[in-house]
Amino acid sequence: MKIQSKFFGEIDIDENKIITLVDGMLGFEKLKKYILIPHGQDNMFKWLQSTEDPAVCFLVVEPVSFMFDYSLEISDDVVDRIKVRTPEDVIIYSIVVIPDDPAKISANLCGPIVINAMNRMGAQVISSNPEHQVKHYIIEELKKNTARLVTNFASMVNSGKSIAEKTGNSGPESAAVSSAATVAEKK
Amino acid sequence: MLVLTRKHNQSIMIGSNIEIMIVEIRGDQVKIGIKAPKNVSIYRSEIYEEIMNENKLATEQAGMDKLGAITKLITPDEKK
Repeated sequence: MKIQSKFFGEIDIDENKIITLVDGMLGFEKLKKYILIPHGQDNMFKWLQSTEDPAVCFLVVEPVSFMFDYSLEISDDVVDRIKVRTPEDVIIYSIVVIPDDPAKISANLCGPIVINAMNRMGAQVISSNPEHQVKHYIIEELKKNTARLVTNFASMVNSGKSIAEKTGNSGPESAAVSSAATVAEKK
Repeated sequence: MLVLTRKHNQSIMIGSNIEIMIVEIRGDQVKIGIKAPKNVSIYRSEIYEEIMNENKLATEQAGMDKLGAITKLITPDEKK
């Protein structure tokens, strides 16, 4: 299926990969069908292009990629609406704003998009965590996380424990990422 | 829009399972108590507006050229 995109002109997309946001996005309620376009290889950013309106395209990022201890509680009504069976099936994206000064690039953790990878149904939700703000500056968060990883690593080395023993994994970074990927499901 | 007048400690029902009660009135502030089933999400309306504005800003400001500059800013940190 061919669609017009904002940045890539006419593109050929696999219809089976279309994501349905059940209520659209806030402010864009009529647009429900989107496709994810990776921004090159090994890049943390992706484009979420509307298949119904070429002009609507969001830059998105997985919050875990810049905030290693990120987690989100997804309410029961959202779990029901997008038919989530296990938290592992959920992929979370945060919408990115790039201002004129690119160093101030920010991600919206207050209104993340949750997608059920099994059926490609998704919704923009409101985080119940008061620490999740509309603007999180990605570069600052990355610096904070890197500093914390270094501190954790140093304290583990100093306490004489092996990293694998303490984290049950191969290194502090992968341990942080795997714990962050756990999505809390409200019961 | 339906407009109702209520006094302190009076309430209204929305459907059969949502109750909204005026808990306190002080100056220009009103404290509201809400009883609703767990699956009903309740948020201050400003938060919807904030997210809506951020969504609009995101589509208006997204640009390929800017992202190139950001990738350069982020990549050296990640590869450390």
